[in-house]
Amino acid sequence: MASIIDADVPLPNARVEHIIGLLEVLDEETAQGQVDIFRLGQRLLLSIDDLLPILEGARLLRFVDVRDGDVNLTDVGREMARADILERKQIFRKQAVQVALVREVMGLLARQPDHTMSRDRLLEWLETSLSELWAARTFDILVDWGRYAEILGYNARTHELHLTVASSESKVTNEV
Amino acid sequence: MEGAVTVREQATRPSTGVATLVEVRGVSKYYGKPEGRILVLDDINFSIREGEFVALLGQTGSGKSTLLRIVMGLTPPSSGEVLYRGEPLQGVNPHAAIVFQSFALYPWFTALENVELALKPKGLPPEERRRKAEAILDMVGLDGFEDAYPRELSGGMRQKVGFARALAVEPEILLMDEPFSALDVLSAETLRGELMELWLGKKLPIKAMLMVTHNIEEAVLLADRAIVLSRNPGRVIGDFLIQLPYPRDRNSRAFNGVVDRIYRLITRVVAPTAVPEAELASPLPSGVHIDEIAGLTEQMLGREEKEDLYRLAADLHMEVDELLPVTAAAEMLGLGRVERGDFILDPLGREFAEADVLRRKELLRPKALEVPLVHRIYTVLQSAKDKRMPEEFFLDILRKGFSEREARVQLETAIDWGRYTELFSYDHDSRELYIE
Repeated sequence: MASIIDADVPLPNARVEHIIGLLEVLDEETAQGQVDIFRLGQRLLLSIDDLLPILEGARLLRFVDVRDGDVNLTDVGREMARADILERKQIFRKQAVQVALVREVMGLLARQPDHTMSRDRLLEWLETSLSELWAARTFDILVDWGRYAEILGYNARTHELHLTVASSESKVTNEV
Repeated sequence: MEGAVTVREQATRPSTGVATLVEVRGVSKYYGKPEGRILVLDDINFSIREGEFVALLGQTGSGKSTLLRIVMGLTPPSSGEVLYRGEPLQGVNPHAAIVFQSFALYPWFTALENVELALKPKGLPPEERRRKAEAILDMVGLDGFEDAYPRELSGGMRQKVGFARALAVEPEILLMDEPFSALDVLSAETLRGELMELWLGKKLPIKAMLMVTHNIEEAVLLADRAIVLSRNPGRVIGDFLIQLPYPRDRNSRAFNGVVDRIYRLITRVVAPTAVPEAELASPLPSGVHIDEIAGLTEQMLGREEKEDLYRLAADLHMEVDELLPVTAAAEMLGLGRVERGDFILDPLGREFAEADVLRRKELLRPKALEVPLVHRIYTVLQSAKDKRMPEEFFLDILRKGFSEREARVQLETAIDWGRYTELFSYDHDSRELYIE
């Protein structure tokens, strides 16, 4: 499936557990079809500013469709909401590797010796298309998603990011 | 609808073959010296059997956290006893583990190391310890986060490490003290769902769970039994089975029926009873300003005459716990009342909500004068020289019935009400109350 999302777009501030929480709520709220985003914010007592990045994260991962101020779960989004803890990690991984930026970073890491890269170098690379602030935020979300999906590992002692997926999966990303 | 909840009697559930884990027998707890002691828990009795997920519900001041600590063996009861599998509890219960609102994880250790530390007292060899810690992290979905430090984790993930640490010691009963209330709404949603998956899927070695919460909806979403405590002191005022199938649908009538019924039970005893022997028999709802009461009555305009407290709280972006003092204050001022889990706006309340500021003051003045503390301050000031008295004078009276802090809150609340109705005012420089 071709990615429609530009890799120059930063990852939104959407932690995995927030995305999953949102999907669980949506599974309940969209039983009768799509819901209004503003309403959803009210129901969750979340401001639109807090809700939008999480929705955007869920959209990038293709768990939700957003149209004209309404949101609905995609099939895989509903599957994710209803899956168990371990299945969720697998589904999330399948979705995450379709996000352009995640694929690019995986490809970049796959080309490094030991599939490892320092935080500073990756930030530098991100900063070619993002501001310093957004590069740092994107890095944090990348690590959060990557760890959850068991694609990436990050050692905060050595400040090194490494690829943890099997080589067959990293090969796929090399084709990007 | 009501069929989903049954008042528990000892015989409600078949007892054959199901072991009783915890028995709380006549437990009372008080603090302070004998002459001025404060009763926190009064003659609590219940037992928990294998397979039960019990929610312990109550508002602030119900002693629910204290009770949980007593069940864990962290705090001894003042009288009564706790049995575990029929044996009186001596010190900390080795078969129980506790999850707190927020976990103090060691910041200089990774997630994996934090869990391993919990296993250290078990005296396992290091490899065995690591293997167990890894397995438990895997089970709660933290695979991939083993080498993350607490600061790298969001609140929800940190709390998951907390759960993993509690579960690592393979307790028979898991005790939880407001485990989701420090989390943002979406993380809480995720963690609740995952806890239920582990519990209902019998993926945990745990045989029973006891969770303290002030959140009624959360209790009805998760637990199969709710024990409801009153406040000041805490007494068991309800013990229900919640017989709704999982997963529970918050939008269903049956769900809301159960939530409503528990609200009714809790609000029935919301009338302040803090210090019955106090000279000032009816304290003001602590720190409730007239602005908040006005906000409540305005919120009621354009609605039906009555509104569900739970919905009203959501619309006001408050917890029901926070809303109840405001409804109590409105009730004290004759603007509305709480009945069967609904807030009802009385005609005076409607007139008040629709009036301009001057008219509001007039409407409220006679009502405020009927409130004992406001009345007392007003009459004292009326007979005082220059119609002024130092705040210390009133604080002294209040200290007889309230703690230092609550005495101040009571006086501040009375001053807010007095000022609004222009009955009396407060001079910050001289710290005096006065009538103009």
